[in-house]
Amino acid sequence: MTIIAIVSQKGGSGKTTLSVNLAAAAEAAGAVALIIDTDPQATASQWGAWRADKAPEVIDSAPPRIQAKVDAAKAQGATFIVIDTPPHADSAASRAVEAADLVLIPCRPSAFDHAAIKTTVSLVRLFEKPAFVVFTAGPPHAPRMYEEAVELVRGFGIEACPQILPDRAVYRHASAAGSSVIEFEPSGKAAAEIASLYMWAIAHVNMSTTAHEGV
Amino acid sequence: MSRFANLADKPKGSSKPQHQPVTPGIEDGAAATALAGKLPQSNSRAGRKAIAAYFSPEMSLAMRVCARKHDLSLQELMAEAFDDVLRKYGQSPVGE
Repeated sequence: MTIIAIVSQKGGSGKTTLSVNLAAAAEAAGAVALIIDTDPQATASQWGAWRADKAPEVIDSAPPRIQAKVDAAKAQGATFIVIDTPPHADSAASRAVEAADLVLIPCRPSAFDHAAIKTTVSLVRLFEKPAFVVFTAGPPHAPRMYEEAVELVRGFGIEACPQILPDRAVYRHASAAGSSVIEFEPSGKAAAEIASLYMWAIAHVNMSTTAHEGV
Repeated sequence: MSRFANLADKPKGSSKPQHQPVTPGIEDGAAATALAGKLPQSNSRAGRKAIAAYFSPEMSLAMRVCARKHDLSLQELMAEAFDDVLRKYGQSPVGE
C-alpha cells in the first residue's frame, strides 16, 4: 500500500495531470489505484467522469475525511492511492501530507515560485514526510536549466526527483479524451517518463518503509 | 463496476440508484461534508460571537498544522492562545 500526496501551493503546476497519470501508471503496472480529489474545482473528478469511472477511479473528499477514506479504500483493496490537492489550501494540503508515505511537489522549472515552495516545504517538515520536487511542463532538452533548478530547490532544503516530466502535447490530448498518457500513447515518451516516475516512487516508499521497520 | 464509488462524498453521476440508500459509513462522510459546508447552522455557535482576523498563508498553515499535531481544533488552539495573551497582559483568562 502506497499513498502519495501531490501538493503545491501554486496553481497550474500540473498537480492533477501528475495525479491522474501517476495513478494510471500504477494501474498499468498491476496496482489497484485510486485518486482522492480534494480540489473543490474537481478537475480530477471530471476526468474520472469522462472515462465513466474506468480504473483508476476518482473519488472526492472533504479534507477532514481523507484519512478515513484512505483506510476504507485500503480495506476495499486499493494498493496505490494518489491524493490530489488544490492550491492555497492549508487544510487539504496538511491532511493529505499527514496521510501520505511520500509527497511529490510538481513545479514548473521556468516559473519557480519561492514562496509557494517554502510553504510546502515547511508543511512536509512539520509532518516529517519524505518529499521531492517533480519538475513538470518544462522543456524536454535543457540540462543546464534543470541543473540550476535542482540547485535552487536544494537551497530550500528539499531534493528534486530524478525523474522529470517535460511538457508533451500528449498530456493535453490524453486529458481531453478522458485518458492517461499511458493509455493514449503507450509507446510514447510521456508514458515512459510517467512509468519510470511511478517505479521510482514505489522504490522510494518501499526503501524508506523497510528502513523504518529495520530500526 | 465501480469499486470505490461508495467512498465518494457526492454521489457520482454514473453510479446507479442502488448506491443511494447510504450505509452508516457514508452518512458519516456526508455529515462531515455538510458540516464543513454550512457551519452557520451548527448549535455550537448559538449565543457565541465570532472573532476573525486576516493573516499570511504561512501563519494560517502553521496554526492549522499545530492544531492538528496536538489533536486540537483551530477553535481550541485559538482559545488557548487568547487565554495566554490575556494572562500576559495581566487579565483573567476567560477559557471559553
